[in-house]
Amino acid sequence: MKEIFTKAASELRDFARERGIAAEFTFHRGLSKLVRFANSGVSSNTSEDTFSLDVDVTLGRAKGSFSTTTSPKDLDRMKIALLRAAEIAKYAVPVSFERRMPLLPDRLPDDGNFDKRIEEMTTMDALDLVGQATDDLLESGLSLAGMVSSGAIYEAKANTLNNNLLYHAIADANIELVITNDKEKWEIQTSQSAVKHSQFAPENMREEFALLLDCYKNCERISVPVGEYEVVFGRSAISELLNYFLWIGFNGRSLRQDMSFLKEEDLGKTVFSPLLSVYDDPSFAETYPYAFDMNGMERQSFPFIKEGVFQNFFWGKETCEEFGGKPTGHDVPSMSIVISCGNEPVNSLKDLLEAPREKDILYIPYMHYMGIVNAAKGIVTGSTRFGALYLRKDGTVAVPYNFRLTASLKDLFKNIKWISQRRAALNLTNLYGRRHPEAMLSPRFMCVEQVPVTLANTSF
Amino acid sequence: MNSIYLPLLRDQLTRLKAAGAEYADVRFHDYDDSESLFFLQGELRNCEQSSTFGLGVRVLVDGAWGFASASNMNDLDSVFQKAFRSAKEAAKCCERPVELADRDVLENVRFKSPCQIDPFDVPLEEKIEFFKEVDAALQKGYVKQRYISYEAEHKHVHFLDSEGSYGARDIVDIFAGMRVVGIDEDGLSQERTYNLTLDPFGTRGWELMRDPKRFIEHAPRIVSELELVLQAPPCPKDVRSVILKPGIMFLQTHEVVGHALELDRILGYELSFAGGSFVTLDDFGNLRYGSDKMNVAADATLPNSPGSFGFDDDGVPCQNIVLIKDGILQSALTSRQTVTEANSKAGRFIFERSGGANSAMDFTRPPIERMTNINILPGTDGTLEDIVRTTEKGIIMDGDRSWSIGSNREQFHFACEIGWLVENGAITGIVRNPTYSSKTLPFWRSMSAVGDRSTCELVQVANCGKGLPSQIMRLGHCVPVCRFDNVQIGL
Repeated sequence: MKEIFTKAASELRDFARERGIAAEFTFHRGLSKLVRFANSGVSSNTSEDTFSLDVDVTLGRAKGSFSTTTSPKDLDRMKIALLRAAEIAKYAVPVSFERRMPLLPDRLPDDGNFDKRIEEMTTMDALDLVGQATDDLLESGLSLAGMVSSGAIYEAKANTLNNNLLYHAIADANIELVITNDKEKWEIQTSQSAVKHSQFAPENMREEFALLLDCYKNCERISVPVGEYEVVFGRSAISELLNYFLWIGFNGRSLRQDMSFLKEEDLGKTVFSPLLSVYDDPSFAETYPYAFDMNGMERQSFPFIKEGVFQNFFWGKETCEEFGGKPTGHDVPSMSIVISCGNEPVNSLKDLLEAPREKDILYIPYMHYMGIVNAAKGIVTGSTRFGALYLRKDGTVAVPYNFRLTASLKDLFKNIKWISQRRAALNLTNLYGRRHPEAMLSPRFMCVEQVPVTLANTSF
Repeated sequence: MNSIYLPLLRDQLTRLKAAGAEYADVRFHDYDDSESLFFLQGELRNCEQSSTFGLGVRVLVDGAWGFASASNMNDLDSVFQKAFRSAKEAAKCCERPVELADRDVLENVRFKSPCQIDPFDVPLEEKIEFFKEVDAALQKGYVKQRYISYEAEHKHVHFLDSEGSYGARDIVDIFAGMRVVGIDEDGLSQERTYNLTLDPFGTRGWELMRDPKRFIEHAPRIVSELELVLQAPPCPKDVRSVILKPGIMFLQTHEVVGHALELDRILGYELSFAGGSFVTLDDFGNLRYGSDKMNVAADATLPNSPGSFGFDDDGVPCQNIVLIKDGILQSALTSRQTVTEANSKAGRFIFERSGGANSAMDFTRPPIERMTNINILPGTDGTLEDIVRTTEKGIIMDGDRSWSIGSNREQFHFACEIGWLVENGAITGIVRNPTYSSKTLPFWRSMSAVGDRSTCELVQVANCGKGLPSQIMRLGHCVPVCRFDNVQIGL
């Protein structure tokens, strides 16, 4: 693909230069396959192959943009896109700050983590993995739902300032499986993300399913009384909560627009539990990292929170052009968020179920449909789903009906009691539009005290 | 709207049938054009256009679906073959073979959305000048951030299937919104928003923007309401009657009526992502969903709304379906596949035919059950003022700020932009950060007032997400002012 991008970029650059147009080109090819399961069968088996080009033309402080889908060799259509962007730029009103096209450095291709085997995963591969993950578990009254999603992206960025081309390619795969009870409507879930096909371990998914199934089939159902609880969050719930930091916490633009619950005066202060450290660290292949951002800036480990102390906001190029400051290499479709491990020897659901408890604990593996109640205060709300448990002090286990938490992110991450020793990747790849592989590396469990339950169901 | 590709596509469908496909269809997007403008503090930050094209092929083989899409039209054969192969492979793990409900073949049906002025014909300079004027109306000392967004779409879609159907859609939609943000006395941000609403019997071209009542006249209103919110005390934690204006009533309807009544959710097809529904097949014709005052329709025949599109992606004409009548659940949002499966599973004839609600976001996605226009029918309780007069202890809310809903749509939490407290039949003050939460059935059963037609607004939804691979859908809700009693607020 790199050769096709190189040739197209070269022709488009020449075409633009001949006409005195200052332009940036972003090429994206996305190959996606998704096998979806429902009611224990394959409900849909889809594949997608799209090639698109985004053109941004700058004319002083004004910018015009045009995007198109095309076939990789249709240079005529690409040139039309360039001319359309140039036409739009003529009418676009200049902004009040200087806009600079980045001088792209000469970088080696960023495709070292690419796994061809993942890109070429078949329906049969998916069926095989799912078969192993659910072997002998789907008895009468239970159904399987879920998906095996795999694919690859090839991206390139070029502009008319020089002849360099930034190239990035990565493949990603994700299995998310749900076992549901047809009558009672409870659901349990397990998932696995992979950057190499060899990383899939369906037997681990099966083990987790088996433990949850045992609880959900045999344990008492309860409606959790509204109040404060000690909660153990699973990695999916941790990722969901932490993802809000990228939007209304760590983001320099949100800070400047008064939409951040973290403020400049928080920098250097212990805002969270000393147990919490959070980085954007592209050295972890499991996160489908970008070695450099879309402006060519090399990406390195970037601390947000170190032992509870808030370290940095991230700053995009355009935010810096508008408000001042230095870009931090975060003009990327996805970051490589890594949460540090702790010391608690609770690294699997089995460990959690067997660990001695000083008090009753709620286990929340997954948060569904979270919303921001108040961005500036960092208050969020969401409901439990997919296998929550009520772990009593006396060692017994109950199955809670889904319940709602409404809490401040600051409080949640301040009141951490312990964090697991091990972590795992959670695939967050965008499946709405263009494929953009993304994963967060999160501890297996995180225990938080004083978590408010604000509403509880009386059935599933 | 003619395409050189149509004979080639027909030929491919014929070949799939000959190869053993039970059914196949193709959607060819001749072009999907879009334009978006985004202003921040009066500056044009983004000025983008796009033009995409491609095709999506859906094939049913041995009772299982396969789907393939591509933007490369030079190798049609490989796309059709990929879809066919995917279906064959899926059939190896097919628990319940898909059966499609009968329907009349779509005979050269052409749907064109009502539009007087194609927004793509309006010069960019005129649009920019217009939004600068809007921005000027948003400027006040206490307004810290001003946002204006505008998006227009023009889609040309051809639908062909192996049963001989052909239909074409030519649809123009416009979405526009403005938002002002200020800082309250606690140093926290507050906002007021207005999104373009439609006349359900009007048109949906650039003429909407030129009508002052529809857009620009709302600018001074949201600015003055923001000033009031900035000075207002926080919403109390209390149990009260909640009066919802269309600016939040649409979302209330969308999340816990519309989504809960998508038949694919009810049948378990979304359990691994968007979620299920508390509704069961036994509930149709029996379940008291809301009070006697609750009447809901899925009306895709409304002349003007993004939820009206002529025919769905099963090739079924759009219809007006009664979902809830006098509070009792009647029907759902359905497709050819799900009505057959639901009737079979229920052991009774719940659905006569597909309701025409199977739609895809674009050529890259297969169709799934989506909302059309899920409307609360107007009631007999008069105007907002009339409803306030009969409210002893309540709060009026407007503006969706956040939403969070249980996975089976059984409970919810909404945060709004502004609240007006009501005591003994009169408004007594404004509060900030109003929120309310409840369980779905008790909430709708507490519906105690439904405003008349004069209180109705058709609110567009531009970002309804569902499905895997995930899809965004655009639709509308025509809703009146409604009141619900004994609702928890302020959490």
